[in-house]
Amino acid sequence: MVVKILSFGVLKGLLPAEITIQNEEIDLESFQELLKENYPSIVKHNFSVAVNHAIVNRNVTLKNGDVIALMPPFSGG
Amino acid sequence: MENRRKIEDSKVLIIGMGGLGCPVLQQLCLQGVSKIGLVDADIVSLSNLNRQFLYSLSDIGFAKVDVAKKYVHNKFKLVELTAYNQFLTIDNAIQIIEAYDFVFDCTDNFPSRYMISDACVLLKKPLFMGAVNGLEGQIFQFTNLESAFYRDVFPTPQNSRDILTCNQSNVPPELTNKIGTEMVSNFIKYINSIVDYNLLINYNLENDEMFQFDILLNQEGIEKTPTNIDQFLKSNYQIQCFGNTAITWQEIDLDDENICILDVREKHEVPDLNISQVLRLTLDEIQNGDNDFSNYNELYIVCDFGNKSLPIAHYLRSVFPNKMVFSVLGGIDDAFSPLNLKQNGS
Repeated sequence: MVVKILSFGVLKGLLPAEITIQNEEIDLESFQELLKENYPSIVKHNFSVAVNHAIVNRNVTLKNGDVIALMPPFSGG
Repeated sequence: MENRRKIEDSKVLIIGMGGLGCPVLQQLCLQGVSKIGLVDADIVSLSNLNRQFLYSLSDIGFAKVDVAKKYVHNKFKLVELTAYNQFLTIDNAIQIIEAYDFVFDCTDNFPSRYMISDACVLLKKPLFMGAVNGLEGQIFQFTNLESAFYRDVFPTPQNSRDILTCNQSNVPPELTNKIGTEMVSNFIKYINSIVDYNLLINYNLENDEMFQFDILLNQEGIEKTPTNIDQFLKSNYQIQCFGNTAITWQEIDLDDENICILDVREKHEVPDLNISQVLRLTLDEIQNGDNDFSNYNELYIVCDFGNKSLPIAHYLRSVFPNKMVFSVLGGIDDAFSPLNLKQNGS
């Protein structure tokens, strides 16, 4: 399955636009672990996660073609 | 027509009169909002002028809220504007916000963002928040009054010093104008009942891309929000965001030329700390406002042993809520102070 990734702020450039996984499906928590293992530079940053354009705070199952967005907080004004 | 009246009758509070506050104020006036409050204790400085378009060269040194008030008075005669020439703090937040129907957070730091969000949750005031970073901006709409607002997205601050406010002079004016305008446009859509749920819009100036996200309720965010005003009044947002006031010499990046090591010993006390970032000011001079520290985001307060510096750091945190202020444990005498490290030849 392929998961598309949107990354913002400091995370932009640290992650590819999509990631291919062997499994048919994967839950969000495992997917985040996988990201942190493969892209350790994201670990030190605080970010919120959206699945298919909704910010989710529980563990959901990801399917082929899902869009994951990773958003760090901005402070400037 | 009825919605038009709702907009005109709304009492709107803008917190922060910098890059976002300027376009938000102008757009609200153009939309016909007639009762507006402005909160900021900042004065106009030269580096503001490229993007904070309400201010001119002749306004340098004057309070931003007063200059903005004059601008509005000249251009929009019917707008009733209240200027609060103070920073929003735990002590005045409830009283000021209570008097308004809607809040626009145009501040430039995380302690203020969390404080404003929590206060608006407690007072059930819809909140529109804008934030910028480099070439990107975020617009938040928090209008579901049963939610935890900003804490639904980011339940707790990162509690780390790498969440520094970015160098504001690098933020292009077209970005802050765009984000400020979008904040007001979301407010209008909310009044017209087109969009009434919590959402986040991320905008990128580089490619003009805009992504919208729905914000769902977050149990952790609800748990982290103060449950009542008493609890809110006991919160310390600077500690939540920047950590404890006291830190060690080893935690300071002495290679960073932009930090300030503020030596608060009396003038006759020796030896001097021979590092480039040192500034010597006594407590009296600090309290007189001899230096406004406008060139620094990070202040490290140093005395002989780290005892005198702690209350001064607490004081400076209250005066400069958006600066990171620390007291250095062990002071000059500490084995890891630059003085002792130099003597030991390391």
